[in-house]
Amino acid sequence: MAEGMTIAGWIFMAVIWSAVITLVVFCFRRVLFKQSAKNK
Amino acid sequence: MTTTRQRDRWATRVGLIMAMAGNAIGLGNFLRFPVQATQNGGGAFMIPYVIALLLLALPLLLVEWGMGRFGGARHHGTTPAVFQILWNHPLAKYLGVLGIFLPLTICIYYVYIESWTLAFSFFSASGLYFGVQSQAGMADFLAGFQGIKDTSYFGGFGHGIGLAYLFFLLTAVINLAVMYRGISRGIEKMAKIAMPLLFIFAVILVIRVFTLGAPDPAHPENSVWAGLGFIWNPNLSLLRESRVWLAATGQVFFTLSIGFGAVQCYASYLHESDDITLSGVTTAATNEFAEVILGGSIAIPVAFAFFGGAATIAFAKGGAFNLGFQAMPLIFERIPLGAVFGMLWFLLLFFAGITSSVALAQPAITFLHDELNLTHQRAVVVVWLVVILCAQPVIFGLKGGFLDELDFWAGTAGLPLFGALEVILFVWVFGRKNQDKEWAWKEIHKGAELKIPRVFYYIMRYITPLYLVALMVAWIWQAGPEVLWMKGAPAEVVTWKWAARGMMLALIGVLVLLTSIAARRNKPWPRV
Repeated sequence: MAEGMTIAGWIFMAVIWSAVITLVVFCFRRVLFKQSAKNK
Repeated sequence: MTTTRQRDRWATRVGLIMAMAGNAIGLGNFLRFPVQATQNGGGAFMIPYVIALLLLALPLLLVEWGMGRFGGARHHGTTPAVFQILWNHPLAKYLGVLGIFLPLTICIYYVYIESWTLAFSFFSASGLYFGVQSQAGMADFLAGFQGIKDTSYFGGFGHGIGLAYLFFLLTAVINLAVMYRGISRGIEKMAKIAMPLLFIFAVILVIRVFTLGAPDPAHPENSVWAGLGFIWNPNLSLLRESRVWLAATGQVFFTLSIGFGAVQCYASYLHESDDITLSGVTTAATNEFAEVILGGSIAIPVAFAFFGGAATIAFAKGGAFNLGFQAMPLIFERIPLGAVFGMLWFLLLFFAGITSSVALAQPAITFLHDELNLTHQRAVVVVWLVVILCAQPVIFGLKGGFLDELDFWAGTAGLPLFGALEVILFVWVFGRKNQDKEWAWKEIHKGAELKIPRVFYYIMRYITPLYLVALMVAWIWQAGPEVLWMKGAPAEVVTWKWAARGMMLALIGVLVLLTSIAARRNKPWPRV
């Protein structure tokens, strides 16, 4: 039960967290810094 | 005769994304997701979760954004008229009634649950539950507050229900004040304040959780890191079980608030040339950040650190509310500055709730405004009076399962049905009518600032509708007979559940009548 975080757990967490953070940064960079004039 | 009222618009793109993300981010991100992940294979749960996100949620989200902008450009923000445009059949507008009925019905009980979060933030700040030391005691405290059990905690004030009612009214007034001011001056402004605060509170709580270590020296094995392992350690053998795939699909469906017309309605306040692909994906990404990273790092890890695995499983099995309203208050009692952290936790949930409840009410408001020519303010007052009136049996029939019945039909069974209708009409029917089977894909990409990979065209066209129908059949198969025939339910519960069904049928009847009136009064209807 209380085995702590396994290596597989760390890998799953790292992959999913990285994917989500990358997507958020990618999207907000485009929304905030590359938006066209009509959408400002 | 047709009249075209001036429609409100989103003032800024960031405001739109905040409001859309606010619609998606709800109590489920912080309570339902960690419970589902823990019960369905930990890290392995993320495999069906991501698949459902790509095959079902993202395509349906883009369809709703596209359909909303398409309808808004024709001064129709709700699905009765939009379905009629897409499918020139007398039945179409009545199928579209679901796009008002489902969010309105969910709103009726959601506002009451939202009011609990406001009440518990007050209880945390004032220390009202401090001193209740056991899980059973906290369960009694919650039941006493909800008026489903006589307890000593709220003696002299209607056994708790009086206080619950007071917070319900306060929550209703706050919602009303936001909606009354309209899309850009009300909902958008509120989202621009509430969403950053929600993220700030969540990050503060995550930092607090991660710095707790192992709070009980007698049980050093119960640490926050072990709690994270509880959520993330993958149990790949569970992937062979269909219930895990169903749970992941359901979670993805609920978390993005798709399949009930609220996204579609919000998107109708866009200009026809506005981008929807980048905005839509940004909204989904923001929601996933709130769910997977923040939601997965607070309640379960901290419950594990304080109570250990067995008790955390017991809390999780009791449902997401047990985790949020019983386990978390017990933890806040045990940490320094617990009153402050407790207040932040429940305010976070309140912000998540209110940004969703105003979105749930919006389709009904927009319908009255667009199709029956009521002023925005009058439409808000009418809809909100209906919500408050219909919430009465939710409040007083909580023990009888009135809320659960509404949740099953409107909040569970109705979503894949309506989602399937949206995809079929938008992607298949209107394309055929225009003799252009790629019409929907082109419509979604009008003004696009992000090109969606072509593979999603095929997913949207073939896989998403099949996935939705399969989900609907699976859910009804799984819970339908038990819910439909109320197997084993006591007589009192049966009465309340039939009352809930009667209320839902009455709501549908009224909405069908209003749609019929709108169609007859404003010929040709809808205006295209």
